[in-house]
Amino acid sequence: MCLALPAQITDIDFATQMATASVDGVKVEVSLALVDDVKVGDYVLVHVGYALNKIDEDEALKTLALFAEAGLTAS
Amino acid sequence: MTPAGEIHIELTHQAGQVGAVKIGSTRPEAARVLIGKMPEQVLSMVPLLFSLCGNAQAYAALQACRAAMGIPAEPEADAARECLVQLETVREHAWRILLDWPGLLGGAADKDTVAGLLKLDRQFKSCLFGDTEAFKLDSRLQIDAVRLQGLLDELTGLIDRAIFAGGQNRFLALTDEGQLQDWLDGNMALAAQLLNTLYQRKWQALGNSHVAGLPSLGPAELNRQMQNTDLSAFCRMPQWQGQCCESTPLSRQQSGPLLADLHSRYGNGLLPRFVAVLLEVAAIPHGLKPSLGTMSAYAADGIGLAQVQAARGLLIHRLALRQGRVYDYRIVAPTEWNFHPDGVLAQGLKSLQAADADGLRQRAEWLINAVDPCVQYRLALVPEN
Repeated sequence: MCLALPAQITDIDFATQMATASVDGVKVEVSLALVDDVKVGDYVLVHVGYALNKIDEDEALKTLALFAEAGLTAS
Repeated sequence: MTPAGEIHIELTHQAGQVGAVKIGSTRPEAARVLIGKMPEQVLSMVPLLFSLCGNAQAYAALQACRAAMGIPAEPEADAARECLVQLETVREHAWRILLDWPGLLGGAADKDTVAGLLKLDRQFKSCLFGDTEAFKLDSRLQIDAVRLQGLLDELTGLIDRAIFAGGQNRFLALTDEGQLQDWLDGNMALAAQLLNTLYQRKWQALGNSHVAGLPSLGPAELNRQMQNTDLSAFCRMPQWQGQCCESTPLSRQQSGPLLADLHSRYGNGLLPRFVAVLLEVAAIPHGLKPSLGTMSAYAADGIGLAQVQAARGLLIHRLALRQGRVYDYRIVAPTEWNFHPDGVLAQGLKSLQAADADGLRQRAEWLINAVDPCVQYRLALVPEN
């Protein structure tokens, strides 16, 4: 099964619709072309370089806690 | 490596001729986090963990939990859930077609259309289950048939315009290769451009191998096989009756006349693979009904076993309950059948030939995309000494 981790947006380049996001403390480049109204600080689900949808902070933190419990992330 | 893991593919070659193929995986067994949990907790956690193909994952988990708990199926709600799984299959096929195929053809993806597709897809669940969750033990059907039909019409229209340039119905009516070639003649639809490129490059049978499609798995027999084997090994590298099998849209769609004709000519090469995906993306929204094959649940001695046809192939969930908590939870995803070290992709890659390394990489990338466009992978070409 494929897994998509929540990533927190840390920086956005609106001209290119690209953002920098933090996934488990690792910075990744993410395209925001498929989602609307994303701001710095928001959480998105990332898969193969695209933010697929915005998720609320509560759900993102629950998901990250699950990944950590499964030993898949450091924190 | 990412926490989500990836597939590592290594092709050893000499001037474009493949010598050996190695496929390894760092994909984690995330299901182990479900051990010790109660079924209600499992059903809350699975959609968070497996948000891609989340409906298929959540439905498989629900069926497995219900079976293990001895709770009967809910025919009406389950029919709605199967519709959600099939709509997810359409979304998964369509967004990869719209993002990947222009790139394969040297163009740019129409991201606005993909964004529109994803926005549309997010609304289906509330048309069937209102504000409640769809895949919980206490889910309640609340069908808004008018809004559902409106969304289905929008989805069908979007796919027809963006992928078939208005020719979807004609495509669905094709019954053999001759009719397909007539449909392709002068056709500039995205689907037609990709299929025409296969003909121009003579890649119709590219990647053809003798790996058979996964047959319908009898639940009792599957449970017996899983009980009598090393479950971790089965989940990472599944085989059926000692053989590698393919579980993809192609392997479950071969009964239609067009695919039967293409399969007889090109085996499981690129042309039948891409046509199988196009047939699903075009046909499912037209006639939403359980039609992709196995969706079943099986119970035995606290064990619940569910099979659901997800976008990329068969998804299996099996859990064992003891005193109301999960003692063991296993998931077998289609990727593990298809990217098995001796499986359909490995055998297809072994058959590739090209004039040089660049040509070989291009062919390998097309084949990987055709087998499963969603899997994160790293492809290395290593010159043979």
